Amino acid sequence: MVRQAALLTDLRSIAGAENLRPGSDEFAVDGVTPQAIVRPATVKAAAAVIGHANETRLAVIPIGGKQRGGPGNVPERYDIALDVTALSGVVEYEPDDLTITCGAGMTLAELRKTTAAAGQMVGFDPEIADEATVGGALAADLWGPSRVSLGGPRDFTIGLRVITGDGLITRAGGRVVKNVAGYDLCKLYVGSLGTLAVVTEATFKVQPLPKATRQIAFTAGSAAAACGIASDSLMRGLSLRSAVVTRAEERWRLDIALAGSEAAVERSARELASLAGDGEQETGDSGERPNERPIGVRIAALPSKLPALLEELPVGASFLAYPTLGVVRLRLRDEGELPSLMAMGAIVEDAPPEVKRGIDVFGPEPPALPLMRSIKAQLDPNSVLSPGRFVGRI
Amino acid sequence: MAASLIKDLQSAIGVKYVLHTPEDLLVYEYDATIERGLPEAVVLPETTAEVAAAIRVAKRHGVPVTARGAGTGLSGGAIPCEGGIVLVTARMDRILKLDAANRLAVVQPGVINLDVSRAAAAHGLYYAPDPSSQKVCSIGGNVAQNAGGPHTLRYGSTVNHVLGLEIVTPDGEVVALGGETLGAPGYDLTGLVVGSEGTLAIVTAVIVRLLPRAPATITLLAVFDEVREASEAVSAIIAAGVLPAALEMIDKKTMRAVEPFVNAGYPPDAGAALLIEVEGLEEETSEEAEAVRSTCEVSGAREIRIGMSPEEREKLWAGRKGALGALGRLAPSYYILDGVVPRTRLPDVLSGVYEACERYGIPVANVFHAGDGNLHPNLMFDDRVPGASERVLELGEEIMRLCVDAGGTITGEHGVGSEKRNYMSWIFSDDDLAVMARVKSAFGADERFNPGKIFPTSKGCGEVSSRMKSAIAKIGPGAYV
Ligand SMILES: Cc1cc2nc3c(=O)[nH]c(=O)nc-3n(C[C@H](O)[C@H](O)[C@H](O)COP(=O)(O)OP(=O)(O)OC[C@H]3O[C@@H](n4cnc5c(N)ncnc54)[C@H](O)[C@@H]3O)c2cc1C
Ligand SMILES: Cc1cc2nc3c(=O)[nH]c(=O)nc-3n(C[C@H](O)[C@H](O)[C@H](O)COP(=O)(O)OP(=O)(O)OC[C@H]3O[C@@H](n4cnc5c(N)ncnc54)[C@H](O)[C@@H]3O)c2cc1C
Repeated sequence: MVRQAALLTDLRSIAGAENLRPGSDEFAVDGVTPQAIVRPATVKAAAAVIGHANETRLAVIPIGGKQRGGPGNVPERYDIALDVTALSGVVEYEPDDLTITCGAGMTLAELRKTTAAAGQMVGFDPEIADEATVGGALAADLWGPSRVSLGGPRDFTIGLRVITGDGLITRAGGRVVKNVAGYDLCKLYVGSLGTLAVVTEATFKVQPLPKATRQIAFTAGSAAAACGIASDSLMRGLSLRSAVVTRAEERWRLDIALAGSEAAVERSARELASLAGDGEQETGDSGERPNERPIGVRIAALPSKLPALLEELPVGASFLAYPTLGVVRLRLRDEGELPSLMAMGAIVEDAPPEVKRGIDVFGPEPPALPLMRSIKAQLDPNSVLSPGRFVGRI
Repeated sequence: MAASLIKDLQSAIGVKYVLHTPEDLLVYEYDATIERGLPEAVVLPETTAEVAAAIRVAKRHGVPVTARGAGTGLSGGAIPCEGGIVLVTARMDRILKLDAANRLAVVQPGVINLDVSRAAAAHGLYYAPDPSSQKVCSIGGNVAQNAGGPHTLRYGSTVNHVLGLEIVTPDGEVVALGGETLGAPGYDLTGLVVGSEGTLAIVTAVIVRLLPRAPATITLLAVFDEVREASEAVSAIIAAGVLPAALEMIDKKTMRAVEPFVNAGYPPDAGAALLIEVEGLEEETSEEAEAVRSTCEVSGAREIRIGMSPEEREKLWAGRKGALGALGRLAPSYYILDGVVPRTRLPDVLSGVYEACERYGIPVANVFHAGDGNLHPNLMFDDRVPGASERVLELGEEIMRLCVDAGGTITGEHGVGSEKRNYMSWIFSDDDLAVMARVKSAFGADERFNPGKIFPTSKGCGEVSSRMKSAIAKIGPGAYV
């Protein structure tokens, strides 16, 4: 407690008393509670907090929308929660340039609203929660079934302003849609889960909102049939926004989102119906948005191997499969099946702390781990940022 | 030059594939830019293992390694600024795997860009990044430069189409990055190595994504009296909610130069033309083509031609594709710039470019990726005139300044190389550059892989001469940027 009191005193002088609170469970990460919560009002103050932590060898975890759970190992240490939500707002938005720059604390809801007002959108998957922040969505490299048409954050993030683990405020990329000046460090920061740098500002490519959208669903007799309709529609160039395969008992279900011009969506719907043949057209929601199960895992496979993988899952399994991407997201009631799934290359996206504690959520170490470690050592030499949370406990 | 270096390289990859006589080396001292530098040895490995062996030899001898694909780079990337070894990937030219069901291919770095699409065509697939040099440039070079092309506007650059890489590090270790399946855990080192210009690693295999061919494509050519009208139309098209597959501009000088060769039917007094391509389902493309047509009309287009069939479309593209070859006939040398500005700044920056060229008395032709705001002014000069090259470089620098002042960048697709390394500090702070340098040392690269590139330095890189012509000659009359 003496330590905590001293820390609070230090942080007060750095970030201002009004931006400081003692740690609480509200900001816990995987069951670990910080000693202090700072919500810096400026990028400079945020950098000063990190600089201080670097000098005193404390651990900082950036926090955005607090969507809890989510990817990452249990932190090794966690002293300061760096609440980035004050670093928000639109910095620059010129619709005709098809780019937007905003603070990392901005929620996806605000981002969506801002761009929609100009008839545009950033490619974050519509499935990603409105409450998530730009910084959190980038850090977790959040994408969903629409990646097939919209790309992922690595594809539409063109510039970042970040603070490194030793407190440097630095920029990567730029504000134009095409840019090959120097290393594209945006690629490193996106998906780094707050272990290399804290994102304070991001620039995205934007694109026109589709003029029309439509949801349709079909049932099919097998996983192969359901996945086949999705990949055929892709090969035919239909206006596919996303495709999701689920299973209810013996029936397979394919949910397709279409996006494009009215006429293109209309034609796509027609062709899909004929592709689906005697597969019934479904209406209404699948009711299969499984959220009660506490453990979420993701398995990636080649799209051609996905049907076989899906057929092998137990009939009661709860999952969302993205046939065109070769990805399946499974929800589990308990950790019983985890070891066998992880042996297949599954990574744990979301789990209660007690489950996470016993495992490395990212599975076996990737071959490039030594390179990743040396990058971490260069950008966060004293392991200040989110220590232990990443691949190989980086 | 150490004879022992040559000997060690020979025993690593075979006598036949180590070049070291002055006559042999001369071929490798330049790329398509106006600088050159001579290597001490050139190696032509065939396998990843041979690449790794050559790099270990280089490490032992403490000499730098510069990778080289087809040598079409436009920023001095493949020039060995500090001598050492040039590692040529020409013999690593196999498509290792074409997996149509999963829409991907695994290729060696020396595979020619267009050959990937050719191989995939039978399956209704293609490789989207289409640098104008695609008939000769290598996938390895594309990866190193993060090459773009006319269709980058809709489909993105090379990095958006690379799923994974096999690399050899400066220590000679072979490492797999990314993979055929999505979402490999860890930092996105694939994305980092793409565009790193051979300074972090040598790429020995590339996993590329293939796309299905769009069912329908319509090409439009809109002719304007004034450049400003054309560049304003670019933003108007975007504002109309259309994201074309390609949106290119050809200015008066270029149109006049190509007309005698291509017979594109460009009116001799026109100020600029836009070449616009829309792709998708038939229904959508015809709606978008109509939107583009009426937008161009409102923006003042005096004539609009529409190509539906492959032959008609090819005819509309002919002027664009034949531009560089035709321009090459106007002057003994030319220097192609590559800057990017926010799209809405295009009209002003273009005026600035013409003004600056006028002031220098150096003729300029603009033919470029307007939709991306990616300018390619072609400066025409005679490199045999003393001081001419220097003046062209000076003008080039001024034009780069215009781009940066407008909120843009110093390169959109050709890379920094040695040519633009000293402009890096215009757009990045010392801290930004320091972080990039740290990443470089994380790879253990320091000054051993492609030294003298990307980072600002007071050291020179080779000497200035003009080899643009030979690069164009190699690509043939179809060369275009
Ligand atoms: C029920 C449920 C479902 C979920 N579904 C998915 C899903 O489908 N796919 C998926 O990938 N995730 C999913 N998540 C995880 C979670 O939604 C995301 O991680 C989160 O939305 C990211 O946004 P956030 O602002 O809430 O970030 P936070 O939760 O605050 O933080 C998320 C991560 O990002 C880091 N971070 C936050 N801001 C920054 C910043 N500015 N700079 C650097 N790092 C930062 C944090 O340290 C943390 O590691 C789910 C979570 C829950 C509880
Ligand atoms: C007429 C013409 C038109 C062009 N049009 C375009 C265009 O539209 N868009 C565009 O982006 N570019 C264009 N370019 C530029 C050039 O073609 C591209 O940069 C291309 O990607 C270079 O490929 P290359 O094989 O010739 O590489 P090289 O010139 O041989 O090398 C380029 C760089 O890549 C590095 N490199 C090569 N292979 C490897 C490897 N295996 N591993 C690591 N590093 C490697 C080299 O060290 C060097 O730094 C054009 C050039 C010309 C001459």
